[in-house]
Amino acid sequence: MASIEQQLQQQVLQAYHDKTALEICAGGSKFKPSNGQAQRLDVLPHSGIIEYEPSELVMVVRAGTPLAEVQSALAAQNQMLGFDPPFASDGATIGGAIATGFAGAGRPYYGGARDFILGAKIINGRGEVLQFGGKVMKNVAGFDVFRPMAGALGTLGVLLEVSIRLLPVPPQQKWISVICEDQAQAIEWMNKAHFKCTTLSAAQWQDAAIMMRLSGTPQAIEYDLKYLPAYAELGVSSDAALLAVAERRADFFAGSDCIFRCVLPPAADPIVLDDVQQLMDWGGAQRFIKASASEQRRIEEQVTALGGRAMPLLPNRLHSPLAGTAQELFSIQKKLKAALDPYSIFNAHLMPQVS
Amino acid sequence: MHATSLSALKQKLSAALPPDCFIDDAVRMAPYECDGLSAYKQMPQLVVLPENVEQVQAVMRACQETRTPVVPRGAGTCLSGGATPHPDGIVLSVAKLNQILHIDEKNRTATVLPGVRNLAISQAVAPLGLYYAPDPSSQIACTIGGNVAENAGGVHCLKYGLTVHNVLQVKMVLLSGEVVTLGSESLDSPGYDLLALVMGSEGMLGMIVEVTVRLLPTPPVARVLMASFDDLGKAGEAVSAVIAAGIIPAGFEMMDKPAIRAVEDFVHAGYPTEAEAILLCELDGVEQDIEPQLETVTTLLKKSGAVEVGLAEDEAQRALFWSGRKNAFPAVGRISPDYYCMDGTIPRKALAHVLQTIAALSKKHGLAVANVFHAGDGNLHPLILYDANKPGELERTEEFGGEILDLCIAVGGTITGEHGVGLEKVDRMCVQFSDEELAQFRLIREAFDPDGLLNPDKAIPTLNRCAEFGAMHVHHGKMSHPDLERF
Repeated sequence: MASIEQQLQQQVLQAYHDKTALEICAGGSKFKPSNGQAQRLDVLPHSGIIEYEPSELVMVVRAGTPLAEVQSALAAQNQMLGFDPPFASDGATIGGAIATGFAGAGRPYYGGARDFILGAKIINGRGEVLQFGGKVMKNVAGFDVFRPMAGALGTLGVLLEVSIRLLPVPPQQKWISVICEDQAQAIEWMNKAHFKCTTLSAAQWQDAAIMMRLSGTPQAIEYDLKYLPAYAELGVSSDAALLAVAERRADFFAGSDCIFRCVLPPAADPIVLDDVQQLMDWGGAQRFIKASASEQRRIEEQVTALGGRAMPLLPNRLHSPLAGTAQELFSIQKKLKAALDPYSIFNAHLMPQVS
Repeated sequence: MHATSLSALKQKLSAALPPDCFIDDAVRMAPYECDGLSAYKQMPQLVVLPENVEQVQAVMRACQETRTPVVPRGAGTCLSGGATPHPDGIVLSVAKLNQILHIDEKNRTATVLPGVRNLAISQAVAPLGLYYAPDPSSQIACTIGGNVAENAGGVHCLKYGLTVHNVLQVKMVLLSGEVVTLGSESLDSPGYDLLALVMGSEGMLGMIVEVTVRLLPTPPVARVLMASFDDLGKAGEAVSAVIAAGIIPAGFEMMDKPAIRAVEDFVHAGYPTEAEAILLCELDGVEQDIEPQLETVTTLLKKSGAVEVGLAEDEAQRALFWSGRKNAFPAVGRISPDYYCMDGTIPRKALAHVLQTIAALSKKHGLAVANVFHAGDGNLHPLILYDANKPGELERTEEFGGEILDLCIAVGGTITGEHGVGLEKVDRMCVQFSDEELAQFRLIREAFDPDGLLNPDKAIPTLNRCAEFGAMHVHHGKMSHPDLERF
């Protein structure tokens, strides 16, 4: 009987020959399937940890493996994924975590999916099974084709296996809160803390308070606490609150208003709008604005002027990986896509219809 | 190159660049005939040193129009022939593009031109308590543009990452003359991650003309331990023991006996010359944090069989310990007429097996070898000692080196950890990658450079070249003829 990998390859080969679209799916935790006509390519059965040697700080794992399974295997060895991928409890898979590149609160301090991926085995749009990168920390043989897979939403190829660099779990964590009504002040403090505190691993601002997570040895945390302005130590873990923001289910995200996600340099000035709610994550580098959809233009203008970009969150849908691409880059992006998937069979519903 | 197309190129270039931006006489071009891999030498047609981005654009357009190969060049410290000139082409140097444009203290970034030296960035931002983390051994000379092209590493990348982890944005000129901006000063950017793709692309996708790097706060304290071992295997196990305990040292380096002896004769770093291996383990952070960690690491090293563990007493001794490691290549250069530096990465657990096999190969080829090793991240640098004046010795060295690389692949590693493929390892790419994978690399390259004029013949072999190489095929650890005797 053909292996799952061979079955997946067969399905892609067929689609390549027929020039028909495939919609890649796995855990289904982040969006609903499109209503399109595309045949589904289900990666979920391609599951299991292939190689995990804690002292190498590397795990090689099949893409359909549930994130929860990966996280519990790592936790047993006191290790973790550095990029805090969300939606584990909704059945997210490691492949989906890489393909979307979604990252939690630790993103500015530890890195993103693209920083932790060391290699990948993929099926390209010609149905070829290819392996790029490897399972070692340093590897400069050939182009890093595996890295752009992070955030490409499957449009550059089907992830079969990924190898990921791991981090040790910090010996201690502390959660503190600092009252701060003024947004500009909050931006300044979060950035100062990033500069001064080696243990800072999350910094969020909402409801007139900064919440910070410190992770490290007790001695290092003790040292860093001296630098922070009047703070209150939170007795309990606030990881659930951090995750609620990463999964967009915190109270802030409720309601009928539009939520704009803005990414910008962390110390960028506040986005000034009357009567809107704002939440800052990633130490100021990711900001959410809750506003009426009609504010889109004003928000985009301000954020662009601050060196960032703003996009509205879509309910149960994802933006195209090419959304917002600068005009001069668009043609190379399309050529890269064509180099890997010449007939645009993968997740065609996510590709902009531009010739 | 035809004289007519060369003169057509010169004519186009003279219209766009002042005369002092060209070198075309053999004497002044001589320094450009090779990079750090001096066994490969080739005179270019012309060396061009543009002074600004517009001039780079003009050069690229002229080269596309005249179908002239372009070899980008930073400081020429590449160890794999990545900057070796093309006989029909120009060398495009970043030497005059050497200004720091902007330092953004609040956002902790610096925007620099590609010819700025790696160390110069850290020096410029040191008064702000910041530094640029990747520190290849050539950091005093190598440029940030070259670092991007090679995805340079260094001794601190286990903890602080490679160039790819520390660069936020680059501006790049395509062969068409267009300028594109890849990445951004935010943590994610629209579109596919072309920035990551350009890192380590060895000058084949475009000419880097501006780089925005991430700066890190300088750790208040750095302390280094030196441990000596009477057995290489024990030293390897010690590295794993420290990492398995959840400690990520800022630097973790190993040297074997021949390397220790060569270094000690050269810099008198205080290394124990009787040891079979030494480990240098650096921890950085705040004093209160470092002290208990030093104790833990000392205990772990001793448990793993370290004969002696010593702590550098002050900053001077710390610098001395490191100077030994950073001077390992020139030190070996003193004891042998020539040496050939290899650069494979292996899973650390394979270390003992790999070093034993290298020792056996050393005997087989009758060539001595000294090993230095970025132990923390598995990046091995065997230095093969040879004499280029002895007929056949370079060829034997290359054969020996090739076998080491095949070995790295067979244990699940790679043919290059940080030096790049360049000209040197282009044949070995046929061993590490399948025909389909190599074809995919070429298609990706064509997305950026359909004419194939940027650094031709480097890094990605053609299928013909692989057929000629006809290597025994070890692909993803599987040999195509496992029944044959290899060594």
